[in-house]
Amino acid sequence: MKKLAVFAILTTIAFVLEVTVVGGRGIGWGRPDFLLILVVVWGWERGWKEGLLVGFAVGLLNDIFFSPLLGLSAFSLSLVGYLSGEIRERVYEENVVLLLMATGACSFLDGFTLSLLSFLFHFSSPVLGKLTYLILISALYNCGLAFLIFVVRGFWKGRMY
Amino acid sequence: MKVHFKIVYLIGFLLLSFVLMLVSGLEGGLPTQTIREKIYLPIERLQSARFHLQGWLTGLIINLQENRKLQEENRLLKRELAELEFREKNYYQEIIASNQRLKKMLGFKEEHTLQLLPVEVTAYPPRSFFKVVFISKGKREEMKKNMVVVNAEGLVGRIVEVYPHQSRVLTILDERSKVGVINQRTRDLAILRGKELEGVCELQYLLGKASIEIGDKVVTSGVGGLFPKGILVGTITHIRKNPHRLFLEVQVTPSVNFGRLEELFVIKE
Repeated sequence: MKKLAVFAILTTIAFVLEVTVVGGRGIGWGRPDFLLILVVVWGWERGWKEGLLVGFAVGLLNDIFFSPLLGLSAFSLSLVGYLSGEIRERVYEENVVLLLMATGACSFLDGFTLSLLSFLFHFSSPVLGKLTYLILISALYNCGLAFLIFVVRGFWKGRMY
Repeated sequence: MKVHFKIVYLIGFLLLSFVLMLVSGLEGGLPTQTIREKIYLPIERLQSARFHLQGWLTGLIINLQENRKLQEENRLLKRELAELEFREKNYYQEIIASNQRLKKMLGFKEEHTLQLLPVEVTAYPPRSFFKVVFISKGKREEMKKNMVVVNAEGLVGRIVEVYPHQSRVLTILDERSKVGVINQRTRDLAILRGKELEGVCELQYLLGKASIEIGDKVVTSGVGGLFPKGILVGTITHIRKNPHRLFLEVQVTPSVNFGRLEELFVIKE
């Protein structure tokens, strides 16, 4: 129950940040992705199973409000949540460099999957053209955010013990 | 065994997402758009709040340096200038071109004056490859689906979803957008389609024998009745002739700077 409440609060915060902070960024600008960060961090902290579940739920919510196709973000964020949890199982948890690398990899995977699915459902042109500037910039933003969360988390844990 | 379990779990979720995509992508599948139009209110409120807060903060900073009255006067003059610029670049140029052509045919056709309603861009959707923007007027302000959106520089797109106080505009950069266009100089007809991240559009179905050149202006053709005739869309920046293909590969750079969309107009005929 407590976990569900935490999930609801964090998802609401991520959505509010997406709509308010990211919603002001125009077309053609790189943007941070708070929903992706939430899924990556959740998967990292709680493992692949919860990462997958949270990714699916958050993605589906995003699809309901913003996507032309239900299941589009759910698909990519499920993969991201799974990957994040899977990486965490295989590496040393407290290593910030690995978290940043995982975030970067997840951002690319998300961008690539969205492009591929958009292409498959005739919403956009071939995939390779998309793996460009914007995905890279967004990945950098996401890494920056992940670093910030890692620092805050470290500070928080330090205070707790 | 554990690895198998993981894979089954993952594939299950991916399959579920994929089935949702297939069903919602079908004609008459899941009514996602209808549901969204009904439950969009909280997001609309958030977007409006962000927009107003941003506007308020910007105003506050400017007011420290400038007189408020001057600012208001400036805003109104800018809007008026943008409207005039739009008319000059799109409407009048097309009138001159049409006039010359029609004179030759000894026929005269009366053009309708476009009624422009000023709107502002309130937000952009999160985590989206799709090139859409949200504007500050909706159902309550009599916005309707398929109304055309322009700015001083030319065609921006058309309204695809209408909420109580906001509307969603599909820009011409989006690959789902298709606009009937005409080369202003040669009068060759084509379909303009967006190319998303590349920030350009392409012309489709332009025959290889068309005598187009780089730098030619492309305007809306009015064919289909959705977009009024003569609105500037962009300039031809790249032409590629493939001897094995019937149609030319033509790239059009939009006249609108989509990186900086602020004040727009909705055309109400």
